[in-house]
Amino acid sequence: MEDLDDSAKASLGHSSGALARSALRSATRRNKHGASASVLIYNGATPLEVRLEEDEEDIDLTEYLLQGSVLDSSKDVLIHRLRGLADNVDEQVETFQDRERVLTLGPVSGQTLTLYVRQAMDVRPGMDQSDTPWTMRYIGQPELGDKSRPTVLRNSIDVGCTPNVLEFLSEMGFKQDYEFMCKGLMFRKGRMKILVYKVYKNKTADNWEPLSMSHVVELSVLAPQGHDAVAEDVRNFAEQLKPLVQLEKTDYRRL
Amino acid sequence: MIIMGFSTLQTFPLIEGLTGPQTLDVLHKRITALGARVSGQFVVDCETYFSAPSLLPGNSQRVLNVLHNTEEPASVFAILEGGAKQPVLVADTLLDALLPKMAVLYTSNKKQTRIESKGNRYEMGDFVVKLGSVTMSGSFKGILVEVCYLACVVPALCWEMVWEFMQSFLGSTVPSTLPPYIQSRQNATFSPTDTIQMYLEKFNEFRKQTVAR
Repeated sequence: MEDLDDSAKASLGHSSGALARSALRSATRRNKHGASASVLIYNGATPLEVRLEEDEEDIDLTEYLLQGSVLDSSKDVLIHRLRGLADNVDEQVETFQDRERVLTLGPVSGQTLTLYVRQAMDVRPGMDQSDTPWTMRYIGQPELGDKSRPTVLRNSIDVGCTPNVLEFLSEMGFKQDYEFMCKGLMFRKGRMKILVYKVYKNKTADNWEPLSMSHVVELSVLAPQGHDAVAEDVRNFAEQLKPLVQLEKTDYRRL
Repeated sequence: MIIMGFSTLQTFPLIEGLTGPQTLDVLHKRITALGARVSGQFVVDCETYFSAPSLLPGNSQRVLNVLHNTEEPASVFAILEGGAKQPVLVADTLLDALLPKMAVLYTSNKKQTRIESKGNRYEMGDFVVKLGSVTMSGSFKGILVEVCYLACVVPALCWEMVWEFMQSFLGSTVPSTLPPYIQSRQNATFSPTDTIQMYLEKFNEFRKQTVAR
């Protein structure tokens, strides 16, 4: 992890998304809105009343995170172990490929806003490139806490949006800082999401080269604020991967 | 159930001698006499944010309008004005959680606060009619009537029929030509973002008014 350049260091600060991943996350949210809203319409209440009832505590806004890396040569052993530990991997392991662009707005009075716009690049059969989901992601400052806190805590807001998001944000005044591509595999265990991916950078347009000879491993859970117990589950799972990959809280200030 | 269709929006002037709520009452009686039934409430609201002066080159300003429509409860619409283009972004409801993060960069002006159209939603066969009372920070601004015809998505193909239907309870206040926004799009597929754009146009008109018509 020592020789990565600035953009790679920043890229370690956030996880990338996949078709299934955003669906996993948004499925939980939509079930609060979508399913319950439609049931309520039939019962006479309106979507407005559903929205008014929804309180902020129910929204998953906090990400509990642990990161590590594994050399390409040892990646397969890790995948094997994860296939055994994770839920439901009888069929093909889920792959994802995302292109992420980092946009900033500002500074105004010293404040800047950074948004990560992610585009799923893997086109599934029956879908064309213009249909793939785009997400806008805001990531807050990570909190490391003390030794007793098992994971990094950070605010994470993922907004699904229409593909014209790049045009929209650039009209708003956002400028692109850099972009990168992540390609890898995704596993799930309960609420936890485990990602093993490789970061690619493009020095010239469309010429993607891997950034290093290793894969990034990320373990994360999105939960409402204050549900610190999930961090324990994350740490326990990380223990099971111990000899293969050391997952720890990355101190971003020391990078 | 996918509710798609073609919507048209118009302001309804207050009836001589009656207040806003009384006019709405008259419309309610007319439409229920035609056989419509109330199927709940609807709200379309709009909040506006202005870019900080130093944000964009040349001191130009962008206005960010964030709209919600109970007809599309899982979506939030964002329309940006002020630039060469007027892009519309449709995102899920977490966009509302993102807005406070840009509070310094795009602020909401104390004067131009939230404006909304709120009222009853009526269903009658393939039509959905929404009679909305438009208010801005508590004060009444006017009446907006939205009529949706669910069975067709191309405005040019059903405008005549929608116009006849509207005349039956709105009388001669209905213009016989398509609203200007739709004129250039009458042969294209109509989508919920078009409805929202029309609402924004009307809201901006209401904001410029100082007294309820």
